[in-house]
Amino acid sequence: MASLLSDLEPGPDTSPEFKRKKRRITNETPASFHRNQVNQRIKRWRTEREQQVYSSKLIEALRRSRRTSSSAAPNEVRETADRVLAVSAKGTTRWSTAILTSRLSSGAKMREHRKAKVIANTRLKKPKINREKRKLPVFERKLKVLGRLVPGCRKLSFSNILEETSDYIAALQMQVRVMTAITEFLADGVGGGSQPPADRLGSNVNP
Amino acid sequence: MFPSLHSLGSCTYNGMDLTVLEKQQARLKWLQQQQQQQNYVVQNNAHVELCTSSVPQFQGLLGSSLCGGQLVELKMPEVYLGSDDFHKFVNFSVAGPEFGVSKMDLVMPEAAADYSISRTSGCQMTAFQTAVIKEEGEDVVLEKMESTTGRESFNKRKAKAVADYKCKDKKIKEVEAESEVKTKCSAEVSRNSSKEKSKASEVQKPDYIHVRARRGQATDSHSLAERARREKISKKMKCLQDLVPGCNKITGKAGMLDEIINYVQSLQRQVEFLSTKLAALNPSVEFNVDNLHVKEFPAYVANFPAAAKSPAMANLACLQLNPLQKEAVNCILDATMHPPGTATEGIASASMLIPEQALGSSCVTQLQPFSTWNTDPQCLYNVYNMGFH
Repeated sequence: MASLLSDLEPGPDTSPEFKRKKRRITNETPASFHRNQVNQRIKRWRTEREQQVYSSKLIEALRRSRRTSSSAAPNEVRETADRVLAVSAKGTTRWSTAILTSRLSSGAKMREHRKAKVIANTRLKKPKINREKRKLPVFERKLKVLGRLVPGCRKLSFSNILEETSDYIAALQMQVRVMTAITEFLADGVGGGSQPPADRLGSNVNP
Repeated sequence: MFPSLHSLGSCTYNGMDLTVLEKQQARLKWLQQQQQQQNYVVQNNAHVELCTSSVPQFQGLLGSSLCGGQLVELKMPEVYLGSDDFHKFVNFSVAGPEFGVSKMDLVMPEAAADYSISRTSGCQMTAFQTAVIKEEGEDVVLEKMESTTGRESFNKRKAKAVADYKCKDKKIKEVEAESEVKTKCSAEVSRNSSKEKSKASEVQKPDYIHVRARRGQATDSHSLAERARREKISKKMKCLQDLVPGCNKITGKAGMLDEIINYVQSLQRQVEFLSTKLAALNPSVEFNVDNLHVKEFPAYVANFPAAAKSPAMANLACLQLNPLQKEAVNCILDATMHPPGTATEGIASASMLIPEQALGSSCVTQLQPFSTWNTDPQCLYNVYNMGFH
C-alpha cells in the first residue's frame, strides 16, 4: 500500500522516510505508528546504503579537516566522525541534535557552566543532606549514568532514554563498522604503497 | 415487552429482589434486541419509559401498606441498580460518531423523569426525585467526563463499568447477563475498532491509547495508565535486548541497564581507538586512497577517463579545489539532509551544483552506474573521484 502510494506521488524519493509519511494515510495509530517509525529508524542503521553514505561523508569530512588543519589529533577525528554520524541521523533523534549543537557552541563554556553550578550548589547546601540523597536511588543513578553517556539525554524520562539509547547504539555500531573498514583499507594501502603519490596517480590511472 | 414488566410489578414486596433481577434481565434482553437494531434514540426513550413504568409499580407497592422509610429502602436498591444499568446502557450506546446523538438523548430521560415525578405523590415523590436527581447527576457527570476528558477516560470508565458490572454479577449470580454484557460490550467495541475481547490490549484510535482492564485487575485510571506505561517500557527494553549482544539471559531492568551502559561505553571506546588509528593514518589518506582504489579496481579505471590528468595538474587541482571541495562536501551534506534516492544520486546531484569548471560532466555520468555497494572501496573510489574533480 505504501509502495503504491509512493509510486503515485510525483516525487522520485524512495527513502524510508517518505514511505513512513505516506503510511500515515492508512489506518495506523500514533502508538503503533511511532513504534514502527522507531524500529525502522533503528533498522536503517544496519542497511548498506546508510553505511555507504556515512563512509563517503566521513572520508570527505576527514579530508577536509585534514586540509584545513594540519594536525591530525585523534580527538578531532573522533569529533568529525561523531558529527558526521549525527548528520547521517538527519536530525530526528535527540542525541544527534545534541552532538551538532554542542559542536557549534563552544564545549568549554558548557563545561565551565556545569562546574560553577556544582560548586555553588555544594557551598549553599548542607553536606549531610547531599550525602543522604546520593545513595538512595540506585536505579536512578544508573539511569543518570546512561543519560550522561548518550549525548543530550541528561534529563529525560526512562522510556525516552531507552528510545534514544537504542538508536544511539545502532548508530554507534554502524560507525564502528565503517571506521574499522576504512582503517583496514587504509592500513593495507599504506603497507602496499611505496612510490611517490603524484607519479602513482598518473601512472596508474592512465591505462 | 412493557406489558410483561407491568406484570412483574404486580409481585409483592417479598419478591422484591426477584422482580428487580427479572427486570434487569428483561432490560438486558431488551437492550440487546434494541442494540441489534442500532436505534439508540428508541432505546433511550424506551429506557425512560421503563423508568416511568417502574413508578406505577412502586405506587402499587405503596398501596400495599408500606411506610415511607421502607419505601426509601425499596427505592434505593432499585435506583442503584437502575443507575448502573443506565450507565452501562449509556456506555454501550455512546460510541464514536454517534456521541452527539446520544448526548441529546441524555436530555430526554430527565424530561421523562420529570414527567414521572409529576405522577408520583407525597414521600414517594421525594424518594424518586432523589433517585432521578442522582441519575441526572450521574448522567451529567458522565457527560462532563466525556466532554472534558475525552474518549480516554470514557473508555476507562467503560472498562470500569464493565468490571463493576462483573463484580455485581458475581454477587447477584447472573452469569448469563455478564456474558451478554461482555459480548455486547466487546461487540460494540469491535464495531468501532477491531480489538480482542476481555483481554488487555491497546485499542487503536487516533488520539489516545486505550487499555482494557484484564479480568481480576484493578481498573482505576491510575493503574491503567501505569500498566500502559510499563508495557511501553518493556517493549523498549526488548528492543534494546535485540541490539545489545548477550542480553538474552538477563532479566530485570537494573541488570539490563548495566549491560547497556557497558556496551555503550565499549562502543565509544572502540570509536576512540579507531579515531586514533585513523589520525595516525591520516597524513597519507589523500594520496593513498586514490592509488589504492586504482590499484585494486582496475576495472573501474576505464569508467573514469576524466581521472586521467597529468600528475602536476592533479596536484594543482587538488590544492585549488580546496574551497570548491568544501562546497562539494556542504552540498553532499545538504543533499543528504533532504534525502535523495541513493547515495550516488545524492553525490551526483551535489556535484551538479558545483560549477562545471571544477567538475567534469563525465564524472557525473560515471557515478550513475554505482547504485549498489558491493564492497567499501568502490564507494570510496567514487567519492574520491567526485571530490577530486
